[in-house]
Amino acid sequence: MMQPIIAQAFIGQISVVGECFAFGAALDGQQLVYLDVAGPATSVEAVWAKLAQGKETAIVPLERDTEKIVLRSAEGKLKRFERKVEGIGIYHLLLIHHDLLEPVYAELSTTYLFLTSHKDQTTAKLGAHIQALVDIAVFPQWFNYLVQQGRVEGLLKPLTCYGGVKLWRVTLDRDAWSRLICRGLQQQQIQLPNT
Amino acid sequence: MLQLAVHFYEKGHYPTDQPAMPGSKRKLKMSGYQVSKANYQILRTLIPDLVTDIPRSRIVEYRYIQVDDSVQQQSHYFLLPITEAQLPQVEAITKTERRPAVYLWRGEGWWSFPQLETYTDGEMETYTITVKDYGTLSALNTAKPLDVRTETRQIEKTKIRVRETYEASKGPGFLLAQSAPTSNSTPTGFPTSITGNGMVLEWKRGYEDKNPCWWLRDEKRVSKAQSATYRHYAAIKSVPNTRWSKTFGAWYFTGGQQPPQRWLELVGYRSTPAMPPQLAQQIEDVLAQDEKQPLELIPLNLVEANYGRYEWRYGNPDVWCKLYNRTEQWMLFVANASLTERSLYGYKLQLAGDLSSEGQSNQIISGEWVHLSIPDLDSDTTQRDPNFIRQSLYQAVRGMAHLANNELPDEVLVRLAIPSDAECRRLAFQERQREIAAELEAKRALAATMKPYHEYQALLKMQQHFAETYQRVTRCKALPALATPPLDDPWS
Repeated sequence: MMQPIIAQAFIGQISVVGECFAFGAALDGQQLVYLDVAGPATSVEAVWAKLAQGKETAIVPLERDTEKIVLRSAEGKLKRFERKVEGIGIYHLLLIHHDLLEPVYAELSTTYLFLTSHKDQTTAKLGAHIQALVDIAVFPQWFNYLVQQGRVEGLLKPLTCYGGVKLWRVTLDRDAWSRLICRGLQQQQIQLPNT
Repeated sequence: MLQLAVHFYEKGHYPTDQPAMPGSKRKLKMSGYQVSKANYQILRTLIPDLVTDIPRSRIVEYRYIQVDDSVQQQSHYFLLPITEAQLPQVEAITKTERRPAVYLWRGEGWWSFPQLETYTDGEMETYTITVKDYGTLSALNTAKPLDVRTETRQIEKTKIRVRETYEASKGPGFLLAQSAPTSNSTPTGFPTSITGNGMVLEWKRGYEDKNPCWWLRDEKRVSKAQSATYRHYAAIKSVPNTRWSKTFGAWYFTGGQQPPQRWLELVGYRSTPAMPPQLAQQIEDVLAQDEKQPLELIPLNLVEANYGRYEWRYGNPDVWCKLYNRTEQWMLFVANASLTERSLYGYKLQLAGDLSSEGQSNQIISGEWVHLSIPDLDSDTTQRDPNFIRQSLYQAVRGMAHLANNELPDEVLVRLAIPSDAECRRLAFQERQREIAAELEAKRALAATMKPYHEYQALLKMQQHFAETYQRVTRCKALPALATPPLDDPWS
């Protein structure tokens, strides 16, 4: 089975210290959730430093008549992954929201999901989140139903994405998801597996 | 008349050996002349009373003297009158000198005095020289004896002798006047100024107190490339006694009262034969006739007529010309003119009595605005007042009445329908007010006419805005209204 690949496409330049190139971004409202940039080490680190301080920066697309994409983030919300690309001497930086990496199931919170070409993976991940969240048993046969009903109820929402990447917001509301499962069972839309 | 030219080197201030103040080391300076020793002797011999020595501590090459102002000088030479009896004294001095700078003016030319001269007669002299060859530097270190060589050479012997005769010479380089200077007499047979070929040849006095001479200059001050005198530089320069004055930027001729023939050719002067007397008489008659004509015909300078047009709209225009007809007793104040129709427009005053005769009472009878075509005015009796300056019609009529000793009350001016200047300003103001009011009224009328149209436009605009906003709002709200995703592909 192929590894799911997160799409990358050039969307524009970010100029803070020198210039670096953005290959993907996702915004939840005004909060930056995902950023994929490459460029000289100083440039990409400057982008991270600026966002980490709560300042805003922007991706400037090269096409004319295209509006720039303003990136904002609350302080300390982003985690940095940086790696040198061997051979061409540039650095690849990923900034990812903490909620995506370490979801909190104890209270009402949110997390995010990558929707890749392998949608089953995403569905399974959502199922895992819900299994961890609710106090009742959740079976893999119910996952498609949960996705469907989650979208209808507004618990799953797509983010504003650039560069081919697709991210969804998952509202981790224990009561809402529990109610959803109970209703499905009550209305016979899902069944308990035969033991 | 014999004249002696004695050269001096320089005129200047020379230090003496006397202190400037008692006890001071600074030496006193005196103005005087620097002369050679021989010339000093000559001056001492000829004019002992007029020459004073400047005391110097050492006398090496030159003598420094003060010479009385009465001694005439010209260009580094003292000019002294001399008699035949004094000549042997001078000769005795010059015979000890080689090429003394002393010259005698005798019979329209300069002569050099008897003096020492050198000559060669072909006799050779032999002399030997000894040449030591030091070789190269490395050869010096060796203890080799020097190469010594003796050469014998020959040279022609130069001898000296006393030349006993006077010889014609170039002298100081200037000529002396033939007779006593007649500075103020103008040359005969030539006009004092001849212009031609872009050059002017004129008889003019020189700088400060110099005697007048012939000057040749450019007609106008032009650059060197365009200068006619510079173009003929060689021809002008070839004339003897010609010099260039840097101060005046002109050539001058010191050779006499007759201008040089070459210069006359350059300016294209040809001595014309005298005019026959009957022709001169004829010309005189014509000139006299011209002078007799008393009337000044009208120069109709129509171009300036259009200046009055602005004021013209307000009833009391600027009058730029006054015409007067002596026989018909009218006066026309020209206020405007048409070049195309060849006519004048103005205020015509009919008078009783002649204005030109002093003291005679006359009266303004009537006035009216008239058009007069220019051919109507083309008679000898119509005359333009050359002294009339541009003014308003009111002022012009008042001034004319004052001239005629006929004080016009304002009622008369009102009767003549000439508004006063203040009244004109008031009229102009009123008219401008009327114009503004009319413009405002027109605007208001237009606004009233266009009101339904504007209202309709505003309505259309509002409707369009509403439609756009509605569309935007509904498009945003449409997102949650999606259909339920299929169960087999819930992410689609």
